[in-house]
Amino acid sequence: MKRFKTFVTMGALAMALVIPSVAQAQTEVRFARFFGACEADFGTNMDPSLPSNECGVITTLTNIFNEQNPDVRVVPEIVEWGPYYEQLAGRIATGDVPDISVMHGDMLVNFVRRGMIAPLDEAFVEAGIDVEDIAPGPRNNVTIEGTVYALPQDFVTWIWHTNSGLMTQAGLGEASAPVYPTSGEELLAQARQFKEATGLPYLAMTLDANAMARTLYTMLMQSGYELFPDSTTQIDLHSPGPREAFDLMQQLVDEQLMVISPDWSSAYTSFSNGEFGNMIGGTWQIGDLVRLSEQTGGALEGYVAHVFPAINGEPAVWSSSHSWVMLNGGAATPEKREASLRFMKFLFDNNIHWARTGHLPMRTSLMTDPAFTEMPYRIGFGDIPPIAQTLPKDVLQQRIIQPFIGEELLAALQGQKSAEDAFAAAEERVNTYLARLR
Amino acid sequence: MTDLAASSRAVSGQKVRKLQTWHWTELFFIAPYMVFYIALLVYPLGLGFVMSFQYFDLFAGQAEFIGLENYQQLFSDRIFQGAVVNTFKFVIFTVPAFVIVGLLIALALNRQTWWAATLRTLFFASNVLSVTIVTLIWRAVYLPEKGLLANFLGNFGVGNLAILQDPNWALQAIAVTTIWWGIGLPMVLFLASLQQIPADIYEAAKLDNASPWQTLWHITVPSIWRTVVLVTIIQIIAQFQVFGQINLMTQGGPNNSTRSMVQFIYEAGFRQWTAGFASAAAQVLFVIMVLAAGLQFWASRRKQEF
Amino acid sequence: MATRKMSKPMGEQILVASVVILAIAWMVPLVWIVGLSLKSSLELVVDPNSVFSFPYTLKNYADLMVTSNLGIWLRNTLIVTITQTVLVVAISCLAGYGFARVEFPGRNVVFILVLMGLAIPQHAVIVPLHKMFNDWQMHNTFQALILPGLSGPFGVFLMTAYFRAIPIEIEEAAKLDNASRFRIFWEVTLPLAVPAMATLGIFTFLSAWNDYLWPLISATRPDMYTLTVGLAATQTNIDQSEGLGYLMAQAVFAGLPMLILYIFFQKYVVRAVAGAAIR
Repeated sequence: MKRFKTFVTMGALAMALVIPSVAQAQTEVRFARFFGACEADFGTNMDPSLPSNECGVITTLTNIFNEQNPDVRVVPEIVEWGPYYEQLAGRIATGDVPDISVMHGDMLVNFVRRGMIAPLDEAFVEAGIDVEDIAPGPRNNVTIEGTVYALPQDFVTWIWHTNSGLMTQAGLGEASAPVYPTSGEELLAQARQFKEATGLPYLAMTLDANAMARTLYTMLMQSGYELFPDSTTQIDLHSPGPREAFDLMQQLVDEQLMVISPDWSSAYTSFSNGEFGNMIGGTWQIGDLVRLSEQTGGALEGYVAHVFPAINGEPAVWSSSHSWVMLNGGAATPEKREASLRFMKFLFDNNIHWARTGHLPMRTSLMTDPAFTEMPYRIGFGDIPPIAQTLPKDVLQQRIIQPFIGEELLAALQGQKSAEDAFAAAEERVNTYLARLR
Repeated sequence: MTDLAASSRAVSGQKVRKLQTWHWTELFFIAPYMVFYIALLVYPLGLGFVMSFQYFDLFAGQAEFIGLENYQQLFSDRIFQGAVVNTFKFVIFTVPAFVIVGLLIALALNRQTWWAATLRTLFFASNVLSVTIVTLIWRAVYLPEKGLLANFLGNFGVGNLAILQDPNWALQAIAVTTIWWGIGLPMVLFLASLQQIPADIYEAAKLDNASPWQTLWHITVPSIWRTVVLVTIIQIIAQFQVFGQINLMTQGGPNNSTRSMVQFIYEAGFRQWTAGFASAAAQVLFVIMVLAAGLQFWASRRKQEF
Repeated sequence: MATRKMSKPMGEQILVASVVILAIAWMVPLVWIVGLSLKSSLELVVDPNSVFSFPYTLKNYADLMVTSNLGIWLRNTLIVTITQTVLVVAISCLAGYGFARVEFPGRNVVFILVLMGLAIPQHAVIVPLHKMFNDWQMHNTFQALILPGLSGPFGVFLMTAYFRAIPIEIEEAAKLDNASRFRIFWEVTLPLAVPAMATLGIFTFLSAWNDYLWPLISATRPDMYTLTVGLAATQTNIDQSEGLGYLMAQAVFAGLPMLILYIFFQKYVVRAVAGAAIR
């Protein structure tokens, strides 16, 4: 009995020691990212024109790079979106730093101010990346106080997914070229027309706090409203602007022109079954919906994606970027650094393939390249960069405060609380939290 | 839980002829454990208490003494208040159900037949699954449109069921999940207790022509009362600390209707990175737990007076 | 044991029937996820009711073999759980014996202090523990996953009570041979404690295997995930992740080891969990 116990203990401890990997002859670049895992479908794929989802494209690009660069091995460390930042920060704090990590543009400031990210201006020159070709918007997303801290990967923005078949049926445009409203009044008029003709809701919002917040942001950007008028720690949701924007949405819901899907899973299902005309969403969903429409046809024929229409003023839309950072403590040796930068340049060069996912490319030269402008299913994407906006750069923890706002407003939209209470609560939660941070 | 009085009596009470001497090296028996106990339980407890008076950024590491500010913010925080209320509500939803359902199942399955044994196995099986598996199962049950519940009720014309997105029902839905997960333990405890009731009492009752209801109420229940109290206390203490189900099924939403205290602590500390604030919330929870443990201690003393 | 009645009263029949129906309802969620796991994820997106109709497919399970990190999670969980169980049993036996037999001054006080630790919930210490392991740069290691579990007083309490109940005369006999305390412990007393060690072992194994909160914040690197954390991570985006069918296949696969172990060792598991609760 005792010997058995000893054996088991020793065995377990031995296992623990043996686990670390054997030394590699290649330079290993540890690549922390989300975007999912799809080894089954794209684990050995070398054809970048095949996949149309984020996972497929990035996996394929990684495969190609590894093959073209036999002295380097990029090893993806895939984390799910939800816990990504907690886990990344946790790893950094304990000195276990990946060499390249993905990071949303709106998250950068939180890591930069804690000194966790290395500036990359010189590194880009070193790597031969043509910094001038990075479009202003994404460039801005990764620049903090004049220093560039990341290589942008794309332009992420807020859109409407449209079932143009239904829109045509309602007299709102031709096949694959639907008509969109350019003001609040037009919105109501067209929505009513649609409902009249098809009996279906014109628009769908999903019960996702982030989606609600981004919709509000977009509408407020269109009306030129200042969310943070005095300081970046005090949001203003009590001035008339937000309430007006919300009331427009409330009216859509009241007149049953807008329906609320309980989650993304049922939203996709309903959209693909032709249960409404337009779905509010983000560019990252285009790839999925394209695949869905190609594989199931039917009601999703004539799927198009269009930037969020200017229903609350001048054209403007909330945007962000995915970007690649090199964290302090990562890429510790010169070989790793060089290899990491080489991989970044590869991603820069192959940016056009990422655009197949639905995001916009981040290179100015690609914006006018037919390879992008002639991508199907997208309308008017070339016009997006000038109108894409973000919250002020130094608002901290934007990904935390966003669901505060969204959660409250969704409750109001569903009639669970009054709009006044919702806005007051949202403002209070955001301001209290931001005030607590030092 | 602990029966402090009985166990301390057990340690000190045995005054038999003991081995007269002890050698200081024999302290090495308790040394390994005491090291871990002090380093990883007592010390963190004190550290947490200190942290609750600090502004502590989880990753920047700087700590700044701010006195009672965390607690002031905590008690005026609407979300925290909601979390406390939700946690109490959750306990009220689950604990009586655990007791009653557990007892009923035990009563029904307290027999030696093969099918009773099979059902006992079945009811206990869910207990060995981890919370992440249980939540995957029940999210699949509660999915709008695609879920088991939606499909089932759809046959009766109930459409558009999105129970985890409904602030009036989400917490109850999680309570049902929790009961499904944990009913095994109360059932087993009640079974053990029922089996200790001597058969002659029931014989006597039969001879007196007692009805089943009378038998249940006047014989069975009083005999197992201790177990009822035990199950109640165990479940109160366990469900006050509910976290996994909420973290994975609703994240505290919709509209703060399911956020539990531990979920609040987790968010404040590990998502919002305000670890001092989270520590303050943890201290509040700890006080509640100590009161609950004290209650159990008091109740178990009382039961010895039967 | 309940008496065997000659005729079954109505109330009891209703009760039993209700419980049988309840048992069937209890099983349905498990059947449901097996059904979902046998459908292609794409089909599930398009048609909510497709579980009830053909075709069924094993593709999700095939994909699991290639894509999933279940193997890594399983390996990590095994390492942590087995090591922790062995260490907890060992340390608790030592401490239990010490508190039961070694009469050093202040023993009672120390023991009561240890017992009071039973009232400390995991959450009261999780934030400071995280900070401590941060400072020691020890997160994302097996040590970080194993060590905190060694501080719980439950095992010590169990073993102390058990050793106390062993008559001291048995050891006195050995003492006459001038054996050291440790030898007595190792050769005489410990073998007698095997039932309690088994109970403690099973209970610790189960709670270590299913631990969620601490691994969630400590094992943040994907190759250190335990089973619970890995499954949780893939769940976070149930709407947009690899697909519903795939997730369900993962759940089925992950739940099988424990369920199989349970079915074979049912008696011991139940006894361990129940015995632990009563204490």
